[in-house]
Amino acid sequence: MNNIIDMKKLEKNTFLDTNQDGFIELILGIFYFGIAGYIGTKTFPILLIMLPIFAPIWMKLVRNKFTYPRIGYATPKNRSTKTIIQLVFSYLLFVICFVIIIPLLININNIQIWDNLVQIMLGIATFILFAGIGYITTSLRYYRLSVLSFSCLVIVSIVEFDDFRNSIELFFLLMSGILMISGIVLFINFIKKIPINDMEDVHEAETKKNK
Amino acid sequence: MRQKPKKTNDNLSSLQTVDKLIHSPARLRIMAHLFVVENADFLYIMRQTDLTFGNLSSHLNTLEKAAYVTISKEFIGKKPHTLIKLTDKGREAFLHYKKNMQQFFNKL
Repeated sequence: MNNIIDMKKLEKNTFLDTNQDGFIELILGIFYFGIAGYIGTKTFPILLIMLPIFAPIWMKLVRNKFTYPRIGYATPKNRSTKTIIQLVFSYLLFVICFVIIIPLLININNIQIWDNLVQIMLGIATFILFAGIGYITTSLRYYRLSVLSFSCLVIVSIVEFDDFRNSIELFFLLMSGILMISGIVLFINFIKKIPINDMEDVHEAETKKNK
Repeated sequence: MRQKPKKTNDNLSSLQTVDKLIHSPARLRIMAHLFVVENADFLYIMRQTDLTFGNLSSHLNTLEKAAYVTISKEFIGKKPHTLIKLTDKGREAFLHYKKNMQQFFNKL
């Protein structure tokens, strides 16, 4: 039976099909940009960082306008989709704790180890996040992102900075650029490739006319 | 003298209990796609199954009559929106169908 209908493949395809609009990349890109801005200016609106946390709300509004009229809507149920959502949100919380909350609670300048750890920890966590999504969905798109995040980590480690905070800022800026560009490219391709399907509207109008 | 009925081949016996409602290729696709989600709208199922509007409507009506799916209509803005959900009965029937077919293919 599994050869006739591969349920696991169906679950993976469902996830990839409902997320082909590039919004996951865009959300993470905005989040990274917010984090980089916060590190750089310290006055950067925290709301921008919080934007991805409220993503399910604003994403639904945007998707109602652009995504669902094209590919339809499906509420995920399967384990893999839930695992991915949990993975992304755990990662967002991890980054917020690591970059904002912990330095606020402790005097960062007295902790030398922080300097060495922070880049590696964030780089590894980002690599694991995308590799994890890639593994669950078997999508090459996320494996590419995990390789790119690793490359960003290497670039940031090579360049010498006076303040280690600048290196973290650069890491987030690089990642944000990559993610936002790939998100926008995916979104434009999605809009171009799939036209709005108004068959249901036409059918409804015809039914009303016949009545 | 009355002829004794032929014994059914063991390989095929599990096929006798197969749910014919699900066994149709189009309905099987609909059920499989609904099985992996909580619910889905009409357009989503239409795209996934490659069925035409009329064809899908007809198969969904059949499944709704058997209480395998529930169909609810709502409006998002001014646009009609049909939401389809696999019922517990439908989910159970699909699992049962899957088990039966698995048994059949394992015996081959």
